[in-house]
Amino acid sequence: MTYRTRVAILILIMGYAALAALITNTQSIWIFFLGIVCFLLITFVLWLESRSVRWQLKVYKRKIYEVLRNLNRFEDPRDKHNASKMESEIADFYGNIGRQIKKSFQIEKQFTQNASHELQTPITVIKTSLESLLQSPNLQEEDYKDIETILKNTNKLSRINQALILLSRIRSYYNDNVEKVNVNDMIHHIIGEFEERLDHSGIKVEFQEENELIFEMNKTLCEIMLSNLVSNAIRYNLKKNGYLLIKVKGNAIRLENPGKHLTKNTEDLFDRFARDNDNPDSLGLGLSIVKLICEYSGLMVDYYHKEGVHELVVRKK
Amino acid sequence: MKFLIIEDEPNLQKLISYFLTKEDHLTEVAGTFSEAKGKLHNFSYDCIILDLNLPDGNGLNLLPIIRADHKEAAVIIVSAKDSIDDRIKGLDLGADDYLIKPFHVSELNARIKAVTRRKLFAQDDKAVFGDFTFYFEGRKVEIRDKEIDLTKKEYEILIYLYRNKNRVITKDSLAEHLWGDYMEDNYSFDFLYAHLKNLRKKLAKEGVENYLQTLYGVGYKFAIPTA
Repeated sequence: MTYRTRVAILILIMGYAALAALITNTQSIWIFFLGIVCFLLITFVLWLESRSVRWQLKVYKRKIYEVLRNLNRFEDPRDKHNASKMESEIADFYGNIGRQIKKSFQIEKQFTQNASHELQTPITVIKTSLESLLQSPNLQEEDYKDIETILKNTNKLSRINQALILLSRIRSYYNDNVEKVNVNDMIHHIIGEFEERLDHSGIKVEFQEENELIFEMNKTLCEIMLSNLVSNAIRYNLKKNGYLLIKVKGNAIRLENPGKHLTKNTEDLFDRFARDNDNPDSLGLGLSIVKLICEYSGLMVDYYHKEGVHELVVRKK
Repeated sequence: MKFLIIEDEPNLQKLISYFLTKEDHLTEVAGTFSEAKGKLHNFSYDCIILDLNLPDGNGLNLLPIIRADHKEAAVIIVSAKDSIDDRIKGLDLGADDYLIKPFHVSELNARIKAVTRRKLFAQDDKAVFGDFTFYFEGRKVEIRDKEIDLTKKEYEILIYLYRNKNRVITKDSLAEHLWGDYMEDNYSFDFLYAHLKNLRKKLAKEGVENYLQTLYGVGYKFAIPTA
């Protein structure tokens, strides 16, 4: 029943009541009483109506949030046969927003994917040509220096591009192959992978496990996330007496390492291309990759810094 | 050896072909799926370099044809499509190796040598180069019949240098070969220098350090020294 029909019925009831009062010539107190009952009934019906609208809004609001979180899918949740006209309008309004968001997301996603893939081939051509040029027997020392500069920058270009591809892939694939990942095992595995680098830099590693921690997420993304964190902790560690302390406790992983005093706000370091001024070689994409993976996997990441001690914490939301 | 390069990017086609010709191989190129299909039906090749993103089809679909008509040929996929799916599918369909763009020519060269040695000269387990003798299966190196004690990384560096002998290889390509492309910035070079320093010491002990030349910070060259 729509709002209008319900109100109409109520007015009819009121009319009948008034008519009955007139005909039976009852005392005016009864008419007054009937008036109050009708008023209450109308209020109740209107309240019911607004509650249904609010509920409808809520459903769509939740859907919009879901769309924002999970931009690959948008389905109209409306039950087409039972929808009133007003409910239909709400559905259309929110449905349009949802579809528009989805569309712009897809356009952006496709652009990033195409752009980064199209860049790979020219980058390969530059690299290949340079390597071929290097084989020439007539090069002078100056030439080698120029080639070295071009090579170094081409490699940087290539790495930025690969990181951008990864960022766009996280958004497309985070939902595939979600499984229970044992974080403790994963950390042991990653420490093993980095063993050589850790030895070389003389960084002492300690891994404290208070409990077993399971993340439900894509395993590859979990590995990329933890590798990035460990790699950062090694790269920005102290040159002498460095250490890396990894703790798994409750719902959180903590990675602690000593390093330089930061000149930036820790939150800003999660932004793309943000980096501390002393590290011109860093791409500034490592932490934004970590943050994006966390966002899409129901995790939170925080960066704490106190007097040269850096701590990154990843925990379940 | 005779190569077929299936690649639609003309510059890359030319560069790979140029590089292989310099290494004394015969090369033919195909820029499209249909052209490649025609050549594969009519001629025989020892090694095929296959790009997956062709203008008129997916290179993966050429693999069954290659496997049917060219059983012995070594196939190396070269592609910008770096999804794990494609890699597994490619190897499943009978490719021998998979290289992601952008790659270093030295890396392609090393892969070609490794694959063709495995496939075409399977019985040939050792190679002699000047004072060096390489044993691939046993992963050992002898200098004038004396085995030298190498770490795993040092062995890998030496094999990479050998596969790219007489050519300049960049330190990037060497670092990438050893640690993959996720090793960033100057850090990986520090690391590489440390391994090379140790390797050089070991070579010096046997009096063969002049096989390994350093070229102004760009890279290295492994060659028989001219007296």
